[in-house]
Amino acid sequence: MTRSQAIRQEDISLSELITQSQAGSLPAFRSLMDSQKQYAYAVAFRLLHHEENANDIVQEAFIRVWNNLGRYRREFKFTTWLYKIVVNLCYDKIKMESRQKKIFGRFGDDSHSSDVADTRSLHDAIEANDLTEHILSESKNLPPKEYLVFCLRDIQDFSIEEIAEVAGMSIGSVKTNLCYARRRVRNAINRLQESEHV
Amino acid sequence: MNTCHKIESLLYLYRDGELSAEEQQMVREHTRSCSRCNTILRQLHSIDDVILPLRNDVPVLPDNSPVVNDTIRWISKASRKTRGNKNGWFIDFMFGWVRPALSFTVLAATVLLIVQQALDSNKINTLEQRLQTTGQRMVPNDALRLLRIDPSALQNASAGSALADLFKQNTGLFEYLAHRYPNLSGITPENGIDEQERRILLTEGKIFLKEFQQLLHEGE
Repeated sequence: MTRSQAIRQEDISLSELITQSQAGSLPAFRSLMDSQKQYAYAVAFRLLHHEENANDIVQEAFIRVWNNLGRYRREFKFTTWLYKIVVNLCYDKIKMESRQKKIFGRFGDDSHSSDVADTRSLHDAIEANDLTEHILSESKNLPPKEYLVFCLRDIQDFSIEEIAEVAGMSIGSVKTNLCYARRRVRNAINRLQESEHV
Repeated sequence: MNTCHKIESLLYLYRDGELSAEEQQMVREHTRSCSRCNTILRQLHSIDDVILPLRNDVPVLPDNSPVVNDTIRWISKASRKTRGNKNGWFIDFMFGWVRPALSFTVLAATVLLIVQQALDSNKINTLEQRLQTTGQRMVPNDALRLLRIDPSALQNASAGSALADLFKQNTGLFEYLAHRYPNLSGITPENGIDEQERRILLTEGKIFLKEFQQLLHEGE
């Protein structure tokens, strides 16, 4: 079986699972979740960097999928629809955390206690020469919309069109936010390198 | 520098598919001659290189994750609840309206009660104010009319003349009434009398009639 044949087969079985789930079959929905949970989790985890929160989001997303299966339109790709739900839920969470951060300050927010990037100080990151963690850490200080676009594009590798679709934004808005986000991250790294030289 | 400013926003959209072919060409040409913009672009590429491992490292949901089972359990529970409600459709249909209807009735009754009390309290306040005001006095005949006493009947009473003299000597019936029943002194026929006021007058009037009978008796 060639790769395209395998993909076609996968689409057919996914479509069949959706049809059965729409008819109210829980075993079919379980299989549908089993086939999609990794994608959903990957999107949620890369946006939230928190295992427990990502699990909660995936669960909430599948519950929403189940409740709205009747409204699902076949002309849209199921995975895109699922990503849209996951991204929306994550975005709400990010916005909430950003608001909490603003109100209580960085020290008041313990929601990322398991997050390596947050628990390490910038100087630790420099000493460990861990620029990746620093970029992640800085990206979390971006405004929620910029953070969402930055993560989806630069970490998840979504195309601009895909981001526009799942995040419900125009292509122009995606590009603008991406541009601002990358500029902020670059400036933050420059500041870090300057302080390192001093 | 002006060109740099125009190009800079394009520099940040350096990855494939982010710029049109024409924009890519502009960036390429500009960065070839501008060291500042070239540095920015190189920096951005190096940041992208740093992020690359993150892009390739796909997070995996652990096998023992309870997500699927928890979701199915939640859905089953919610479905049972919905089915339970479906069985009780008759009760819902028959009595579903009772609660809102009762709530509405209670609310309406409360509002009416409050409005009525407010109106009553306003009426009483006005009456009290009018009763306490010493303004225009009632002429004796008006006072008698209000008390539903016929002045001619008074004149023709058995001891009428003696009593009439008594009132005349005291500058009229109302002077006596005003002295004896100060509550009546503020009410004038011109202002009109409502039912509440009439009730007060009649109560006062009954007492007055009793005293009047006594006076009559004493007069005899």
